[in-house]
Amino acid sequence: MSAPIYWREKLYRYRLVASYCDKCNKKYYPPRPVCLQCGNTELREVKLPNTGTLISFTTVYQTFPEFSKLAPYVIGIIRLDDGTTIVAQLTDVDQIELKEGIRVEAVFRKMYEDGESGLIYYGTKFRPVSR
Amino acid sequence: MKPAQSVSIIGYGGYVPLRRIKASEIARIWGKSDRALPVEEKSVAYLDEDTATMAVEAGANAISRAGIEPSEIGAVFVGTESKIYTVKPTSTVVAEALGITPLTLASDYEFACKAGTEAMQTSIGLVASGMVKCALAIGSDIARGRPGDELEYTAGAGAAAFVLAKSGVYNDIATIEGSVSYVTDTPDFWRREGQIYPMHYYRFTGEPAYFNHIRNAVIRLMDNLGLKPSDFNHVVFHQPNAKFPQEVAKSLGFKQEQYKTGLLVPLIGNTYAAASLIGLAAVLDVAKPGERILVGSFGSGAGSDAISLVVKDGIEKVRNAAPKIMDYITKRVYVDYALYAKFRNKYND
Amino acid sequence: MSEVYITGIGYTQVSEHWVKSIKQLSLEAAVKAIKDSGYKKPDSIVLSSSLASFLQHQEALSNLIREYLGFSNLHNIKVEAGECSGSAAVEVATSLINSGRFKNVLVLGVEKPSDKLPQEFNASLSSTLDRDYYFYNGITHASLFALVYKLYMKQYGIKQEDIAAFAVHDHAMAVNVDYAQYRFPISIDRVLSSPNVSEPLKLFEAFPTSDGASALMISSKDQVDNPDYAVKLEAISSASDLSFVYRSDFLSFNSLRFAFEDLRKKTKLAKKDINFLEIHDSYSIAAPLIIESLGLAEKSEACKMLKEGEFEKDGTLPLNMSGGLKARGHPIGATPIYQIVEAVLQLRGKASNQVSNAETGLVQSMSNIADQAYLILLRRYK
Repeated sequence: MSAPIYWREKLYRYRLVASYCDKCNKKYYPPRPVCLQCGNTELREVKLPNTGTLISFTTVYQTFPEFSKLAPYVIGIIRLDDGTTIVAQLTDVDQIELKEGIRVEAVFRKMYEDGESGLIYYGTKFRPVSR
Repeated sequence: MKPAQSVSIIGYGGYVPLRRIKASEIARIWGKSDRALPVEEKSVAYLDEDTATMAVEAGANAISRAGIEPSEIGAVFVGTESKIYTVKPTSTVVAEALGITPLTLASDYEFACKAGTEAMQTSIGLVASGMVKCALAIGSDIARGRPGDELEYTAGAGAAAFVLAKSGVYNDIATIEGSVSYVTDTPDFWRREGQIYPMHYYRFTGEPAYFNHIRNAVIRLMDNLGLKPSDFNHVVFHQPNAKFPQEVAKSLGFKQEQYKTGLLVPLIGNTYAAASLIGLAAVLDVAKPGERILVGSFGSGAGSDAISLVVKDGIEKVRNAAPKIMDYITKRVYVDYALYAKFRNKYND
Repeated sequence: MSEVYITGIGYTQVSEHWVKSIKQLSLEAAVKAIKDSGYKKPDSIVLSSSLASFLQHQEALSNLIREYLGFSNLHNIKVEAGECSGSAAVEVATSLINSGRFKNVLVLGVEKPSDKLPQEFNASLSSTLDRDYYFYNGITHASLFALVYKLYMKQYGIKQEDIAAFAVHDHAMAVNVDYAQYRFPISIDRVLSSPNVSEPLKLFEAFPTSDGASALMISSKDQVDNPDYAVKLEAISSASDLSFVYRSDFLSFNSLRFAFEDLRKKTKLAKKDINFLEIHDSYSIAAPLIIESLGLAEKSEACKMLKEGEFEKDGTLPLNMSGGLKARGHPIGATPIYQIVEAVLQLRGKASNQVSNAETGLVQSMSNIADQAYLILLRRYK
């Protein structure tokens, strides 16, 4: 991946920042410039809550080269505490019985590396809250 | 050293990864006896964790307790010997992730296991001078244990972060009374460029390095402040294994009730630049206002920072605002050596 | 709508083609289609390939194929719309003829996923989703369907074996189809005991790595010289939807619903008029969701209809007589063209799993998890 592409996308990856349309009261994550419901082009940046509930999840076994060492890993649909639904990777799920309805929280983690000499890519994953 | 203006810790937090490996499991692989092992178990960072990710979680916990906007922080220092890049700061990633950028100082500190307290010392100076309102000092490390080496039993992972500001402006948790740094060129432990694992000189790291520097720093500090061992309620020393900190404590006149709260190495291993700071955070999790704390860090190469702090009323309000060290320590999942080696990239790819 | 016809079809075996290149596969399909059309000379080539940029590192593929086919100078254009590239290519070809610009257009779909490793193919497929988000988070194409699989089973209380049965159906159909990739039946036990791709989705519920090329000669009405052989492209509808991360109802493939409404408005199509259906069942779970989103089954009823034999050759809605994406295969850019090839064979009365009195066929294709969808309605020449 390229350094400029990574750099310009980092805000919402590092800090769970979404676009908010105050006409529709709708939040979009990842952020976008135009509301898909009403066409409003004046969307604001808002921070999403760090906690939510797991709605569905799947353990991914077959994936891209960049994620092969991490596999199997879990992808989930999460409803954050403000009602926004997002799709994200889960982590630290060892020995936890994953179920719909468990509470999860956002954590800052490494996504993957561009080989031995390339950049390290960071982002937000979610981990089960109760242990 | 006493800052010209009083400085306090206004926020603190730590992080220990979820996974553990038992020292007996490591001994099993190398065919060693599982008696007289330097620790019970140590923490193991996962495939998606590194010095930056741990520092971010510790930093976020500290900022929660400080109750400030991240933008009020004007300096972020990450002390580590496992920088995410050899060249490119860990601290800029951490500062960005915590929302502290762009108007901030940022740099990575290296002084083996005392890089975290070095970061704290500089933060004290910057804050006291009025150059910044708040500073964030972090110690974070994923220590590298050479397979089969004695340090493999103890090379752990963890982070701790402290927000410092002038006393009396924010909610003071603990005020800095003073500090002494005692540093000499002592080659007890080092790593050359391009090498994955460090070298160390076994027993030379004991008396001439660890004990000599800590004793000198602590004795001078107590002299300067007119204090004696019994004036301290808690004492935290750098903990490369369970034996050294207990020995140095006893030799300086401290008792078990004083050092037991901050002695975490048997459970998480040596977290290197985070070690003394995680111990301090664990003490702050339970300390009462008015109690006095001594921190005696040690970094190979070599040096010791001895810092004296007095706990303030502000601690009660914020103790529960973020997870405590014991919350992280008790949440754990065991892995075997094969998984440990996979997570820590010990297989030649 | 002007009258546009399919006057010729050509296709290669769907398989892992180690020996043949993307160019050679294209040539084979093109030559067959041109011959089948009675040697019409195309005025243009509209090429569909979704992943050649990634898999073969080849851009501007249509002009390359144009030359490889032996045309020193010929209008050509590549159309790319993810997994619907083939349908979009048909739409472009139709428009070129409707506008009066051309009389005969060769639509050629081709893909060669086996040229790269499976993990790289996964990466390329996920690049048809927003790469900055899905690829970045390790969200694979299959994982989205797996998430929806669980929600579907939970919502309607349907068991996995009833959904995986669609894969069994596809294989049963493909046994007779000479161009299909897997021409053997498969048992439900074999499907369910195959390894997980993205749990609970099993390997044998997912489309295989398929190489193939298929082609259609599309012509204006005055070019039809063999009415028994020609098939009318009655209508094309297309719609899109919010990408997965922005949806609120994950079990609704809205793009299909919109496209079907549009089709019904244009053609007055009713369910009973559809003599056979080809759907884009990239995974077994896609099948019930597609059928229900099109309104061809009540919500949660598609699996029951399968059990009751309604999707068989002699059922009320013959489904995937070609073997579908699971058994006929899914050479991405070529898949919609293969679906239309099967439709043409049915309407000519020359199909392997021939539906009796086939007059009208519906072909459905979609990209990813119904991010974009096409419906193409075909009729016998009247």
